[in-house]
Amino acid sequence: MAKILLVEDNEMNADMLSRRLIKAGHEVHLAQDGEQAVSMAESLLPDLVLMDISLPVFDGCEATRRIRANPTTQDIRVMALTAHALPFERTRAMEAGCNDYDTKPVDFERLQRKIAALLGG
Amino acid sequence: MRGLFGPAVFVLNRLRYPQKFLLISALFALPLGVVMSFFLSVVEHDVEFSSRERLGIEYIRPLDDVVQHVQQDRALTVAFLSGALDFKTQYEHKQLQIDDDILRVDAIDQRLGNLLESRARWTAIKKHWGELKASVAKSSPQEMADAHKALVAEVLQLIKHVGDTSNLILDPDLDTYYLMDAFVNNVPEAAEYLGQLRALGALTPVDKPLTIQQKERFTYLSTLATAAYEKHRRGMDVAFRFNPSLQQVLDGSLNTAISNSARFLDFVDDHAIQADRFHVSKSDYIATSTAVIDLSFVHCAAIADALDRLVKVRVDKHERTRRLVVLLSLVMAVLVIYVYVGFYLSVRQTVASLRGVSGRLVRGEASSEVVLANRDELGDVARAFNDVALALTTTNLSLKEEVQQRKVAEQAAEQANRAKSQFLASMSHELRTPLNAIIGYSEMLQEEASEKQQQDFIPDLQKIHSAGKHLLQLINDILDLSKIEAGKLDLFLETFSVEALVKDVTQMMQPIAKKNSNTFTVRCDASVGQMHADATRVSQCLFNLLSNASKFAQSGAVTLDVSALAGAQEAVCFKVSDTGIGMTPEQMKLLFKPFTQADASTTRHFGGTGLGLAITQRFCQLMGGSVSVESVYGKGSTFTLIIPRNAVPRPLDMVHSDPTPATPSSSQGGGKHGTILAIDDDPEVLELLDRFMSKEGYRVIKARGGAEGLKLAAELHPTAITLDVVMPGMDGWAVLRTLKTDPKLSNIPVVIVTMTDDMAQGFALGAAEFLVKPVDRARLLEIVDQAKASTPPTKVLVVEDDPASQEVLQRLLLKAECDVSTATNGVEALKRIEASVPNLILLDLMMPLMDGFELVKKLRADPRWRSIPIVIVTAKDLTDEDRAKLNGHVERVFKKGTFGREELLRELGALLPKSDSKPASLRPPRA
Repeated sequence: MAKILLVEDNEMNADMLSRRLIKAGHEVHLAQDGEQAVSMAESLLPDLVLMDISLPVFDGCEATRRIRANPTTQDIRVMALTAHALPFERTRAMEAGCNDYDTKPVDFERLQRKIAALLGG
Repeated sequence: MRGLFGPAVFVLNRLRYPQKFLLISALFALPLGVVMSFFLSVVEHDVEFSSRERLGIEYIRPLDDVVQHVQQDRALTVAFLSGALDFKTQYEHKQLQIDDDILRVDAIDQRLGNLLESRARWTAIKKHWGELKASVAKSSPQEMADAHKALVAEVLQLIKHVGDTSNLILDPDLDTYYLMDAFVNNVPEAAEYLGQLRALGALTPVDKPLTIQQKERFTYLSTLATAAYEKHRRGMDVAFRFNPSLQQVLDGSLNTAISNSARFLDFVDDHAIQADRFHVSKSDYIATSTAVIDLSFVHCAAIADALDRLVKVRVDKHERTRRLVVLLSLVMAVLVIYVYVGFYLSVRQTVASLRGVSGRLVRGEASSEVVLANRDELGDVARAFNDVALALTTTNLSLKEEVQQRKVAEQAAEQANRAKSQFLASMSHELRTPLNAIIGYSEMLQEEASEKQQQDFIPDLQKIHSAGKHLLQLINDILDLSKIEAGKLDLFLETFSVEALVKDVTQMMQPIAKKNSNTFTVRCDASVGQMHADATRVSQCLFNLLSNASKFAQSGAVTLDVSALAGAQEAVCFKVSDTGIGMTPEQMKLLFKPFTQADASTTRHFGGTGLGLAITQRFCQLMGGSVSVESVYGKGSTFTLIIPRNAVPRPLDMVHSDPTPATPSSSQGGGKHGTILAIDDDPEVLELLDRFMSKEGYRVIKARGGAEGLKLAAELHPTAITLDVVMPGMDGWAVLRTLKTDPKLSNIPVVIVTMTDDMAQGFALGAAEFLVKPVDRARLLEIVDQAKASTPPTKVLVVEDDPASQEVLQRLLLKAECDVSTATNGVEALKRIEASVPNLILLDLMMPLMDGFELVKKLRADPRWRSIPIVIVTAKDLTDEDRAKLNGHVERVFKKGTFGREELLRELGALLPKSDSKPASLRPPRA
């Protein structure tokens, strides 16, 4: 259905989410840190990036800003996906340029709805 | 005692020290001066008295010569006239000598003026002498003798007279008195008797028998002379007794004079009185007698010398006394003045040093001790002052220390609070990450198990899944509660259908209600309609109450009643009843407290976090509602939730202010109500303003001076500025002028907070308000709120292609005092936004060139414009797809023709960035 770049440094969560997304019919690529996320976004040009915020090298907000700054990747949809639940985290992610935001633990059905909404346009 | 000295104390208390000294000095010096001058005048008088005596002596000395020489002249002229022609040369010589004497006396007489009242007598003597000289040739010897005798008597009278007028006669000492007596009276008198004897001898014819009369004459004069010398000797004896030193000086001349005169008198007795005829040659007789008489005059001159010396000694003594008195007085005066000046300087120095130290003490400088070597009363004062200063310094130090300690404690508390927030945030993150895996994997496994027909695993997997969900709920509850307590929970108010919400909750509740075999009944009044609140939080509250009810009821009934409440404030009432175990009044008191259930054993028995009710209550309060409970022990409980139909966010009483970072930076984000820039040089005033305004939800930026304030104002564009007037460097008036002349800053309201009360200048320069310190907090808050409300008109961009609709919106907004600009399509709108970023966009969806959806997309992709609130005003019936496109990007969708003017304005007001607590930026049009 869609080409998704999953950025997640926690191995177990990366494994679990990628398997579920693949099962839901998506093409999933995995990046483990902010730097990798930016380079993979440029090389793969995915439909959607699911971006964890707490990441090694540089964090998800910085990665999103770099994706937005690059003309080839600036239109890629980015959804922040983080275990931070405080409201200012959401603001920070949206200010960095994310299109949407969801919290972990993931409610998979809700996540699917949001993905559909983002890619539908 | 005190009463006695009262007047003196009264007077001295009112005088400064120099005046005190002058007063006391005057009281001492006046009588002392009078006594001194009296004493001096006495001494002066003595000096003058004795000096006059000396003048008398000086005058009399040449007069004695006159007497001596006139006597000699008498003998010579008489002898000459009696026929001894050889005496002519001698008497003529004598006359010249007398003229000479007279010139000497004249010189003195001229010098003294008539001081001794001698002039008249002296003139007469001179005249008589002239006549006497002229008459020598025409007179008989006897006449000549008589004329001389008269002249001598006249001179002797003058001597006595001068003795009187020159005070000699009044001489106070015995020795000098008798010397004077000898000098003025006795010796000249005695010599005159001898002189008369000599003249008698010159008259008496030689070798002729002596007549009886002649003998009697000799006898008479001899007797008088003897008596005179005897009297003189007695006087001298008294003088010698009184002053023995005189005897050495005068004894020789006295004895010579007296013994010679006695021998001469013996000679007269032998040759005249006892003899029959006088047969002594004239020249022998005159020579003999003259030698004897001259000895008396030598003696007289010695007396004069002695007398003059004694009087001179006396005068010198008096003059020494006078000099000593004057010198002593001067020395005393100088000494007194010296001591007084020293005293005054000492007082001055003590006072100055006390004053200096007190000044230092007031300025809070460290070493504040008076160092004085005084042992007097002022020294006591200084020591007392030192004690006070020491006590004050000690107190001050301990106070400073205390303040310091408190600051440290405060910082520690703030630090702890920040650490707590940090801990909560990271704890929640760390817990959620593994939970994500647990829940995700268990869901996956459930799906796979059902796909692979392995039903045996499913119940266990469900247990893992629901345990994970429970843990997640627990974490969320804790987070919610801490967010509420930190004042960080924001409500997302929206309008929704109550019935739909209840339906959702019911669906979620069904499985839980069934667990304890309870019946679950929902009664929802059809007329309830819509409400405006945070739908998520309302469902959370209902869910909490319903799951509680389901937990505590066994095979009973759980009921949810929903109804509308009319009244001053429209509200919706949710009533959750159960037929469970109920509560005692004691247990009910503990409800709503975090981590507390009615009974400690309840958790074990029924599960749950114990946070549900506490969170429910706080959510309700945040939305302006309330929750209450009724319960009968053993019968069941009813929880009643009342939420206003139009919820207004309200700060909770228990909401704490955010810990304010020591140096706020611009990345910190604004306060809930806006940013206040406080400019004051007094850190304490800044601290107070910060604490107080932060508590009220403002973010406070502190500036310690005018220049710093202006820099921060330009950087931050605060909602309002509080400004002190008296500051070092750039003062408040200068800051105000600069602010008001900068077009970018001129619209920021400025509140003057100051000690001065020059309101006129403040308002003339453009201040919004004027407060005088100490600041009345309520008044300050009111002013800042008002000032904020009077911020420049909200800029609203209306994007609408239909001219009629555009005009309706524009007019409405203009009436609400908004700054309205318009665009007829997305492209034009982008140009407008590029030129001036609006605070709010009203957007139609269906437009030519670029439609609303596209514009929203573009705006949300641009970080500069992403936060502009957008309200869709459209005639289109939105499809699910449309909604998905707009989801999360626009604030509100209004269907044209379905909203009222008031409603639109209220909604728009609530959306504006600076006014989430006070939808006053869009003021309804005035009636």
